[in-house]
Amino acid sequence: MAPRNHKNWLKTPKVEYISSECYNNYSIFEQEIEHIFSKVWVPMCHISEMSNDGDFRSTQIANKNVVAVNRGGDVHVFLCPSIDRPAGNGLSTDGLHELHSEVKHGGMVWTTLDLNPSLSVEEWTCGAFDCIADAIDTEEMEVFHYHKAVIDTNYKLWHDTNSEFYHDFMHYFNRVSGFNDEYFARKNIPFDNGHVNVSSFTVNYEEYEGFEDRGELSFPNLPPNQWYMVDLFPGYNFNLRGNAYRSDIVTPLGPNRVLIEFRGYGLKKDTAEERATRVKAHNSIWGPFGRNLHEDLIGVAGQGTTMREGTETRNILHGRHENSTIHDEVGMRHYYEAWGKFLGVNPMNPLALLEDNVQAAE
Amino acid sequence: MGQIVTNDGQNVSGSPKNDSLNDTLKRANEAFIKEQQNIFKNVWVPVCHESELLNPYDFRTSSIGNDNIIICRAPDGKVNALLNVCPHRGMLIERRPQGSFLEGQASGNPKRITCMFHAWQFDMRGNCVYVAREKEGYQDRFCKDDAGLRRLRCSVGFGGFVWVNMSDQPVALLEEWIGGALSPIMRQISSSPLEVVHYHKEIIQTGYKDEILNGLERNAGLAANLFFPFGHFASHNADEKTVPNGENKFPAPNATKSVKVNLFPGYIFHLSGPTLHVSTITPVSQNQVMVENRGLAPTSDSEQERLARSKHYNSIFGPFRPLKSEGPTPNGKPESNSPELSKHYNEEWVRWMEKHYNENGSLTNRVVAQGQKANPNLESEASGPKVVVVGASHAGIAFADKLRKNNFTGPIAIFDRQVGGPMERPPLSKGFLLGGGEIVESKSLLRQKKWYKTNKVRLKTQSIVHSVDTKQKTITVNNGVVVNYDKLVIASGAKPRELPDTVGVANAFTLRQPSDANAIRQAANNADSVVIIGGGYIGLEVAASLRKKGMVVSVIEAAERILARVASKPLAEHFQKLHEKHGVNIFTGIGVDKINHEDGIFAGVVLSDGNEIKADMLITGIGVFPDSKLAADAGIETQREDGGAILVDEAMQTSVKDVYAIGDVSIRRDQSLAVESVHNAQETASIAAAAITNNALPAIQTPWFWSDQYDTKLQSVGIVPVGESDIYQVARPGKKEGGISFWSYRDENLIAVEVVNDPATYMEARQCLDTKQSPDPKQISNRSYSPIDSGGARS
Amino acid sequence: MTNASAVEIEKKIEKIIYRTALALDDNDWKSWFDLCDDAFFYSITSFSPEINKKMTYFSGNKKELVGLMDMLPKHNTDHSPLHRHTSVYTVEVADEGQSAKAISSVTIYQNMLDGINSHLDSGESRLFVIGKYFDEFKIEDGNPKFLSRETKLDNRRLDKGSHWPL
Ligand SMILES: Cc1cc2nc3c(=O)[nH]c(=O)nc-3n(C[C@H](O)[C@H](O)[C@H](O)COP(=O)(O)OP(=O)(O)OC[C@H]3O[C@@H](n4cnc5c(N)ncnc54)[C@H](O)[C@@H]3O)c2cc1C
Ligand code: FES
Ligand SMILES: [Fe+2]
Repeated sequence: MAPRNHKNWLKTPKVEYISSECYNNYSIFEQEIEHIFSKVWVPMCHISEMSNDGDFRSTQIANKNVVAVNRGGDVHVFLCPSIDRPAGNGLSTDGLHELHSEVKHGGMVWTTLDLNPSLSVEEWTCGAFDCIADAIDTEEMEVFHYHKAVIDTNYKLWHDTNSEFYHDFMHYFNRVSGFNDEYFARKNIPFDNGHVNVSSFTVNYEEYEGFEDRGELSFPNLPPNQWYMVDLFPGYNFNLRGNAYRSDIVTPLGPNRVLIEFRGYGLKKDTAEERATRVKAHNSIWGPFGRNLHEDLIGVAGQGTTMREGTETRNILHGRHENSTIHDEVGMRHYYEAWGKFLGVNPMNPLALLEDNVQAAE
Repeated sequence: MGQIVTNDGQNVSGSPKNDSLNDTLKRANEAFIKEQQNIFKNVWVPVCHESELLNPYDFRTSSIGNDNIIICRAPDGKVNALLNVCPHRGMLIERRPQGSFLEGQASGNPKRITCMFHAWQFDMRGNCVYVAREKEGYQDRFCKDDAGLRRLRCSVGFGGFVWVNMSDQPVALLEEWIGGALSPIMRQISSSPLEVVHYHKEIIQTGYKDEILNGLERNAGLAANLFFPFGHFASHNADEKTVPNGENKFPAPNATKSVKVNLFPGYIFHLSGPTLHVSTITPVSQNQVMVENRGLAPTSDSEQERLARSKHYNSIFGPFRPLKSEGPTPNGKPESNSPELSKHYNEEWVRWMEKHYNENGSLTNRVVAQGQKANPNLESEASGPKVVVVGASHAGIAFADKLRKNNFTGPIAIFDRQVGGPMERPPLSKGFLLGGGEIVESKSLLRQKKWYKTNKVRLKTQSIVHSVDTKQKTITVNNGVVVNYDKLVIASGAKPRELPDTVGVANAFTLRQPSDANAIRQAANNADSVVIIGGGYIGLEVAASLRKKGMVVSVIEAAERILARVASKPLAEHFQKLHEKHGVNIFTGIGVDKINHEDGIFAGVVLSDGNEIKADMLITGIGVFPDSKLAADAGIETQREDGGAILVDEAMQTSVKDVYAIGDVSIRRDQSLAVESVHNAQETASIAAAAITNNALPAIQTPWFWSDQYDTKLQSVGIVPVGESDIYQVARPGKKEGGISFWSYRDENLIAVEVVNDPATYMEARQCLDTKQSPDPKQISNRSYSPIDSGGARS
Repeated sequence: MTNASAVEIEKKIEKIIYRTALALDDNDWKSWFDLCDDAFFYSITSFSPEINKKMTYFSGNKKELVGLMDMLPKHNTDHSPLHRHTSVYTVEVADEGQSAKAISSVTIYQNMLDGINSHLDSGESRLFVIGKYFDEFKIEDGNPKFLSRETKLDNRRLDKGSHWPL
């Protein structure tokens, strides 16, 4: 069929889809803050960012200021309305309300606004980190890279991009090096609570000029040139690729605005050269001046533009099926199933159900 | 940048904590979005100029009402508009403001529009030509045939602008939408190819509406305002004389004329001396509007000419223009125009905002989206068949009136594209032209407002009926609102013929609708002389009215005499003398070879004998043709395949059951000659009303007609078969001084009577014809002979 | 080394820094590389109070940079031009006029082109990053060439980032 008129354009697609309202409706955003971000475990920072007694690190979860403090080697997390610095030492926490917290999965500091969480971090992540546990939990790690981005897009669009590899068509490096049998043998594996893993494959770095083979310097217990991705609901991504480990963490600022914090990690015991090698490997792809990150961000910013508030509601296709392998959009389908359950809405028509729910509640 | 994540929550989150403030913002935003939906997504937007995408595969991007679009030139040279949204996961497909698709993008191929995200590719028409790993990912469930882009309505015209309408069923086609609004500058902007030579944009911290209304104050210096349907208007400085153009068709670099056309809701074409400035608005938020400014010049300019224009442009419109350069009025007129302009604009704005939400509810949009039937206005009415009328003029209104008088209780809705309450047409060429302001005298209204209420007649003005579906029994109005009917009455009337050379020339008019008369009246207030082409009734009436205003009036009639098609020769001679006595120059038996204009403003005519008549304005009155396109498109039989009047039977029913036609648009199958008159409109209306209410059809009266010129009143009854040699006239002196009548006979039989200033004789003549009596032609010239009951029964 | 020739070298170094700014503004990588020694090393760094560390955001030697710039057309890039304002603050000539170091302040603006919503954004200038250049030069026959440049950013918030050296 040729170009479409309005009617055909709005027709229900023949494959799985969700409504763009999931990405730009203000009420939905408010519900997400209340029912998702105020409930889940959030990896707010890394333990190495607060290694000395008295160090603190702050962030914001669901519009609330939260601070993690090192008290004699133990981490405590508090609600802290008046905090005005991202990090420092010597913060009085007298009278502050303490939140549940844990240090888990490669030294991440986890906390939740849920005052009575029914699950531990381990129960919440429920096996999604198993594939990289040996690599990230054997040696102490430390953060060597931090930067952030504020993008006019919905946080889920960023997470979508992290959850699918079909967009490798956008990245030159992936386009020319990746599409072999081994590549397509990679699978998306769904876990409870909307989490997803992508299992390993070998990257042919030689085909990209300017990059040496990264085989030599790997993470503990990780065969050279392997790649793992952990996509944690509702918007946290951990990525282990050869000798570099990274994470990104979203903080939604509005239906069409998100803060993303990027971190790169090495091993504490790294020599200066080893560290430099990791930093370089990290930067070439995921640094703010790297090849892929810039493209990924242009991608989601573009989606944010066409889906900003006031744009016409349209269908976003999630319908690729390739046996759960790398270009299958199963990761997103799995995510939105969990997301819909959290909010009690149908992602294909989230507002209709919201309205029904409001009526039912009244 | 470098902002700290953990401030107190206000800075970082972008979502203020204060709930009531939040709600206010939300509501403001909702109102803004509503405007975008109701107005901007339904109007024609000049998104760019064709010179911005000269070659095949060139593109421009833009946005309308928050949605992003691509405008591109296909290999065949055609300009297409597409939604700039990828059908896969909604990526903005093209990010650049302008460029060429000839070169491939990083993820795609040459001559393709590529979505960088997953490399789906499209051609210049919006066909999807490539889906990456299509079969592997979608098997047989989905393929590129399902992935075409959204194509938008797009027209190039009016000086080479690219116009896009986000609605598939616009209220009006582009030409209808703009109507005459651009006519004051049409000649200039279409005489030679233009190109954009200046571009800059501004983001102004105010709502778009305020920006437009504030801008109106600057119109104050432009003395004459013209109002057009759909909220458009034009202002120009009629006082300033233009510098002759020479060979250069676009305003010469030293021209001084200034015309500013405001197209609703905020696209301004400003011809100022040698430059054309076009500004377009794009609302950004409730309190922010982006204004794009373009300066245009002919492609044929020499470097010097370009420089001169550019200098002039920058001094008035450039980003570094001196403040207030457009300042107060050169002729010292008070700034009195803007309230009326604002009113005209606001009325249109309200209409758009209400149409969707107050009257019809949000129905309108849904109807379009779901293609369902809906009946927004008639549902709540009393029982009975639903009658829908197209055209609220003499025929349509008389029909509704008769229907109610026949005790019809069902709902009646009348749709008309005109603005404002329906007006009588006859005064438009007569007393109306003598009036002053823009105010419509309520005495000229066909019916007062109360009448519609009392008679439960729903009048929908500014509503164009686009199509009739005689099978579904529905009509489609404006935005695609579908209205069903049980009986449809087409009273769409007639349209004036135009001379092709006058199209787009400023100060050249035809006269049919109240808006035409309004425009003529306003132009006449600033003009000293007029040429009228056509010596028919309308032409002569206008001649009389404008002569009364003291203008120099010339009437040009191609036929050997005036009123050649409608009146007897002696009557025509009578009127010729009358006009000559009043100082009108009448030229008969001569054609018009050329319409002269300066800078697109009418300047005079050249006659076929080579003589030139200079004048400030032109009125063409060379007859009308039935406006039957709507019916013809619906498969209803008309006189000719390509048009003509709608053929009806003796009950005014068309070739399609339950569809009737009345007034100027209709002609009975047994009728040889169309009679375009108020009487005919009323008579055909009563016949149709009787037929629909199953009453006996009223007897057909002898046609009658009147005309007022100076202090002379013509009344005529019957139709004079002009051009038939066996017809002869006998003159009868009037009962009073100055009265006279002309009795037309074939043999002994009375055919028609034309009466000047003698109402009593007219009554007698009418009685004769109605009762088929023929007074003796040999005696009728004798004033003491009574035509009534003189025994001469007609055969 | 005479004072006069030291002043001359300082002048030359200022010039080469400004010429580099012009070349970079134009994405004229070739002209930039021509001003660099073969041993040239480039990096973008920043300090993060959040993690309390000095970071390297980007680095490469001349060969790597040339390779990356050659590859640019294959990437999907934001083409909004960057425009630098550079002021040379200090130039220190050493080794008897064989080497030098310079510190310059740099403010980089982005003139939006195809950023996010070009209909609104294109043509607008935004502050992109601020920082300092720490440059080292090798001087042969009185002519300086870049040995290294460290672009030390104050920013850690970089939004979409860039494919281009700063
Ligand atoms: C200036 C002037 C002076 C006249 N003087 C006299 C006179 O002195 N005596 C006399 O007897 N007659 C006179 N006439 C002629 C008389 O006015 C017409 O014969 C009469 O108006 C015909 O009425 P009508 O309803 O059939 O058509 P019209 O008056 O033409 O009305 C048709 C209406 O239908 C509307 N319409 C058409 N298509 C659509 C559509 N698709 N959707 C919505 N609306 C539509 C039009 O806007 C218009 O309002 C004069 C006419 C004019 C113009
Ligand atoms: S969003 Fe365009 S190809 Fe996927
Ligand atoms: Fe990516």
